[in-house]
Amino acid sequence: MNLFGKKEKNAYIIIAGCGRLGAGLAASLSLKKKDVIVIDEKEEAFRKLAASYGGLTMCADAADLGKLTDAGIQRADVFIAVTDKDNTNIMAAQLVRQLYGVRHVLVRVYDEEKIRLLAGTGIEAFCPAELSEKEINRYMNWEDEDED
Amino acid sequence: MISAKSNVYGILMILEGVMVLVPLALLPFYPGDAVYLPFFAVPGGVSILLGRLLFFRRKTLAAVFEERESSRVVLFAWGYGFLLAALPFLGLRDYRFTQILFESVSGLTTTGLSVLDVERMAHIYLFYRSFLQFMGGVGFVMMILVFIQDKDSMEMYSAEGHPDKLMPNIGMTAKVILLMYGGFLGVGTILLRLGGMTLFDSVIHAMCALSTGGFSNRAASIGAYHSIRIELVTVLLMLIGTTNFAALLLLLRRKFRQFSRVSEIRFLAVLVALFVPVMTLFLTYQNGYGISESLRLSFFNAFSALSTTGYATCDYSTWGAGAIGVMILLMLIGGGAGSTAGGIKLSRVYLVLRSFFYQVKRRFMPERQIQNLYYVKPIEGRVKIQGQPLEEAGTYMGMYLLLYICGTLLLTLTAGCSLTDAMFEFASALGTVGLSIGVTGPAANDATLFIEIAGMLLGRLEIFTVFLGIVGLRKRIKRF
Repeated sequence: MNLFGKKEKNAYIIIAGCGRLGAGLAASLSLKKKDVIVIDEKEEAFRKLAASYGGLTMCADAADLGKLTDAGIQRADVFIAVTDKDNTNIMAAQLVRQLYGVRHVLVRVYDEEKIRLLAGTGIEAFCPAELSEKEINRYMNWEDEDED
Repeated sequence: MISAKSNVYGILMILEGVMVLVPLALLPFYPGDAVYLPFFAVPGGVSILLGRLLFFRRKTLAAVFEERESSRVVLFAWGYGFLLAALPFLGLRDYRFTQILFESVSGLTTTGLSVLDVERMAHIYLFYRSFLQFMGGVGFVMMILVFIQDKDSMEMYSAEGHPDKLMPNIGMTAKVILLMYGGFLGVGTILLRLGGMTLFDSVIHAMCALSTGGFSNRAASIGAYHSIRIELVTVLLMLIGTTNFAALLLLLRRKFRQFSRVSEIRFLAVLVALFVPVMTLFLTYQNGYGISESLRLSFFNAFSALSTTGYATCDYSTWGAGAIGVMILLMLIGGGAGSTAGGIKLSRVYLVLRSFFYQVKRRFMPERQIQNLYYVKPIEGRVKIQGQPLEEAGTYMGMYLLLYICGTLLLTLTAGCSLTDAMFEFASALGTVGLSIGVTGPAANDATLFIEIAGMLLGRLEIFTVFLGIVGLRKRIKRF
């Protein structure tokens, strides 16, 4: 209950892609009282959002500059690109980073090779396959054996 | 003290207790009203205490969500509110309990039908009635959302009949709406004061016009002032009250072009442009008013009906059937979705009409040609008309009209009035408008009042929530 107290700036997060990851992320961030907007091409995608989701949704192409402006990209602190298309993710991230200088840009890229495209841009990229591999190695302690 | 872990019913009881206590702030200005102090202090105090006691039963918001009872919470908030808000009226000794309850329901649902004699009522009660409308205009759930946001906040928010998200965060949305609401109250009060009302009257009328409530401290309502300036300011406030909050936010952000593209706003403009001249015509030919007189009357009253406010500038019982019919139609259509207004809502009527014209047009189109229909919402922008919203709008409109016919017929039975009068009066109750053709008044019997109470409740909470809550309650009783 902080009505008139100190006004701290709430992180404004734009999530592109309302798939399983995007929807889950949006719902949990919204519960943490962050400002969230989710963008997806298909209206039906928003059905995956939990009923408790209290943020905004927008039906648009994630790489559409005009729509990103409508979504308030100038004010955004975090941009997370998690659509199912690597190229869309990378392009949207580059647009957002280079034109608007959003501070934190995170991208999911399925194809490990493409991560190289983002080297030196300040965009944080992660690859599900690579992460899974790491997790499996961690679980089986295989990495330690390598060093021996 | 209040946190997301507190019992949601307790929070509501505390909030509503505080609401009853607020009019006491008027006592320093009207010390003569101090005799009524206990009638406000006792119910308010007890409610706050009870609410606080509920906190010890650790039933958190999260638990409420798991039981899927968000519509029951909303129903409780309103049911409890009606009873609690009725209690202070006990201080006015000349009325039956039904009449008091009617006044409280009429206040909180922002209807504005009244069975009390306002001309000789203490200031504190006049303020209290209007304050109930002001609170009822935004709803209790909206208000608690400013303090707490939890998993099921969003569900309760939509269960109370708020369709829009304005901000990327539900708590912020509630805060922005309340800020706008409070800001408009300030502006409205100043404008009415400049229009020539006393300060007390300005506050009261600004609160009731914004919440599209329509309580007045004059029996003749706005008509008692005989001032065109006051009428114009009131129309402006009613217009604000009936406009979707999301669209108002566009205005405040000076996005005028986007605002003018919103379908609801355009539809509203078309309705006004169509029906004000029609009503003027009816009034001139059927009632024999002069052109300028009937133009002024129809302008004000059309807005009053369409915005479901219910301020009047004349006595409708002398009007011809044509003008009354237009008024009934406007009351049924009602205001914007996501505003404080009632009725079927502009957006639903618009959707159904668009869909109807498309169906007609499709007969003449090649079989395989498809045309996409769009309508413009304030936040989302262009949205395709299809599937669920369309179905919902159609069902709601049908159900609304069925209930309307049932209520009208019941009213002719209980009040012994003509069908026209019953139609007018029940459209006014169901649409939470508050215009009266003379059926509702101190002389109305209990059965009539209860039918209208049911109408106001269904109209404010939007039919579905009431039925969801009742079905949920029945399931629970069956389990025992």
